Amino acid sequence: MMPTHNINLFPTRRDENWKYSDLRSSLNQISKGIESINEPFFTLPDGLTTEEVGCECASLKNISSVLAENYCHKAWKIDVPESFESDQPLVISNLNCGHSQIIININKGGRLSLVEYHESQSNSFINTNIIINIMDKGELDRIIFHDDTHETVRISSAIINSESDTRITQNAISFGGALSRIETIITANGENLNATINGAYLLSESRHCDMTSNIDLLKPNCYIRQLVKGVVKDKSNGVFQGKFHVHRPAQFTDAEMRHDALMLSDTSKIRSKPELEIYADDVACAHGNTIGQLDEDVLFYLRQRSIPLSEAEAMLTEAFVSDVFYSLKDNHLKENILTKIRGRL
Amino acid sequence: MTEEVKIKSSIDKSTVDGVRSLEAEKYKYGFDSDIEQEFAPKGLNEDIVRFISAKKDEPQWLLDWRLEAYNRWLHLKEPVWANVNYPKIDFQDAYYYAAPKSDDDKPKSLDEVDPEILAIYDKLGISLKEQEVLAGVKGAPKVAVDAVLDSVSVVTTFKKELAEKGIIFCSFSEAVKEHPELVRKYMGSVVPLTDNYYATLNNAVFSDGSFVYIPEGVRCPMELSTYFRMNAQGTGQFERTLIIADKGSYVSYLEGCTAPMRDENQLHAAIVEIIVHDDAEVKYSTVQNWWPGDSEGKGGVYNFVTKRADCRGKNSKVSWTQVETGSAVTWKYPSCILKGDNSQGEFYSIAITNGFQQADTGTKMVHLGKNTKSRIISKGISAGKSNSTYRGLVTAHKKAKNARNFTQCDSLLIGDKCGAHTVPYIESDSSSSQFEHEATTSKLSEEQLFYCRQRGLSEEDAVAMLVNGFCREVLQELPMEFAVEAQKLVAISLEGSVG
Repeated sequence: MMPTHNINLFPTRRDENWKYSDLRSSLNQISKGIESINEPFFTLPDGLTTEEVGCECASLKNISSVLAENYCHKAWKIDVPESFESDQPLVISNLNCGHSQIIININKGGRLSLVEYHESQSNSFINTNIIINIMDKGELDRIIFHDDTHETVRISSAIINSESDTRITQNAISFGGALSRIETIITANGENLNATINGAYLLSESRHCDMTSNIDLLKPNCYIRQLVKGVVKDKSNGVFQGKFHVHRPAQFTDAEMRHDALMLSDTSKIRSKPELEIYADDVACAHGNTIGQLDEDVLFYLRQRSIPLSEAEAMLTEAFVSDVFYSLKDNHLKENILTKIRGRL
Repeated sequence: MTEEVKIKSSIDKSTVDGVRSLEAEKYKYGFDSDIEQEFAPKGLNEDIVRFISAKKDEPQWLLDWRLEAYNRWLHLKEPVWANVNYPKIDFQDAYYYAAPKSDDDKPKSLDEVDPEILAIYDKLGISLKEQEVLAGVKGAPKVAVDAVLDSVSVVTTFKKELAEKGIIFCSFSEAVKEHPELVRKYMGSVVPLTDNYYATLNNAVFSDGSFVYIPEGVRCPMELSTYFRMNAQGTGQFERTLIIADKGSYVSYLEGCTAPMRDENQLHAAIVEIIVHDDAEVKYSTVQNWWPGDSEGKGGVYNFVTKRADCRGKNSKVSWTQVETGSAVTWKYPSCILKGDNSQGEFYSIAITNGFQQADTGTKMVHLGKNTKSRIISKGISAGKSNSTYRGLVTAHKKAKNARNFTQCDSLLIGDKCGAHTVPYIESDSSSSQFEHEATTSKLSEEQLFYCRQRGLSEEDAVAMLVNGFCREVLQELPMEFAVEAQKLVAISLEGSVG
């Protein structure tokens, strides 16, 4: 089912940023959601409320914003007060069909733990655009669970604008879909951003997952660590596109990006583009990318100890992927992620 | 009025001024040579294509080739995806053929070449003195040279000596006449007629270049070199080089290029095709020093080149080594298609940009056969207000079992007005492939600089040494003659950037 109008809003592989994720072609098999609005469900910690507002993404240029603007004329807004703290996370779920736009403002010194469930059971199209503004000394811990059917097409996009002395941690786990795009766009408008942006994808059948991020550093002294690991088997397709854009004033940036992928079948694919755009000379920026297989020697070691091959492979794969979430502080959420990973292996 | 360039270490203002005054003068190849030349009429149309073909006395099949390319080019759109900016090129505002005036175009022996032309190459330090080598004169370099001036090859040295081993080293135009079967067999087999916009243009108006054929089992006894010199104003240079290494052969080929200082931009759109058969190896080295434009960014050569090697045979190997210091805009990706099982591709590059130069360069390694290997070492040094981008592609087809790649691309920024970027594309369809890529962008270590200066080295010498260390891996891949020249080039380029 193709959209009845504005087909050109949906990018194809000819658009450089969507080169490995042809969104327009993937719509052929979709039965609903392309032109409808999704009503997300919020589980709010004490002290927070939601408010419906007009859609405010006119100036943003990413596809998710453009589509949300075109098809969804409202947004849900949550204001996190200054110095807010809570044991309870803000949970967003029911993101399973159509477009939605969410705006979260974390005011000065506020701390928010955000958990998102991007899950659908049908061949729907879902576009979720979340805009998060973090004021000075604000903190965001974000966890993304993504698990769709092999027929679902999804874009999950987050545009995060941060001021000075902020901290962001993000952990995403994805099991893919027909086409999935998890996009994170961070703009550091202030100094001293400390950001850890991690993700992992585990794909089987003919699933696809595209983890794309763009981190724009406009001011000095930012510290960025990004680690994304992927496992592909059967006919699945893993994509990583990362970009650090270090603007001229962003001196003393310390930024590292890394993507490692395991290919477990002859028909799987990996596409990776770890990009650096640097205009400041007193910085340390690095990117690394590796593609490989499970270590034959280690597999043999396990099999020699009577562990069947499939179990040995599962153990090593779990160790490979779990590494990403090692530093996750919330043990309950960490165990949640690891359980999901084990369930898939 | 030039604005202050902020650089991290503390430097005298008088040093900054002194070095800045060297910028426009440092390019010692920028001289103009007033030799009588003949030109095609200005502009580009089918008649010009026919003119070029007639001037070279080409057979019908080659004229047809050019015309097909020209007609296809008319329908292509100029690509704009590279990380470079330049004013739109007016393709009608150039001469597509310029040659020294002579009675005929036959390549001459050294004795018959116009002394004025020989003087140009003398001034450039390119030795054409084959007699000295044959007579065993001490210090005479044993390098066969094909000297190309604008659109023609003016002389090729050591042809006879090489021919005794069955090696063909001559101008492309001569190869078309003397070895048409080889040219027809291989031309366009690595870079197809309509591969990309500038390659298609080259196919229509290519001037001259070199042709090399190394027969089976022969190791070429000397380095082969082509030196490209643009001289005439308002011309483009579209050279065409074809190198064929038959089974079990080896050749080391060097390419050098310079151009006079001009206010306008000149286009250099070349094609280099290399075919390597079973167990053969080709080493291709380039020291590119086209006029980079003046300190205000005016003038300079546009270097838009398609270079590709087809490792057709089993165990074949190609190694690209380049030191890029010139050109206003560089846009090139010397690549290897690793078709043959166990074939290897290597790419070693130093790209230095200064002033207002822009470079978008890198390589493509396409793994198709089994057990193929590729290695990419790329170092970019940006200074002044320049921008340098490494763009690379490493790809493995699903049948490319055990493909291996190692890539290291590092960037150095000197000063706070330049930019260094990396855009690597890594695409694997082979589950047994192992690809490793790493990169850093860093400033020269303050501590390392302090250590050198503490031991009596001047700031400039210390930086040159650190940069040379940074570039060592690349420089040691260059043939000896070029390594020395490249070391000097790197020092020269740095002088203008360390204030």
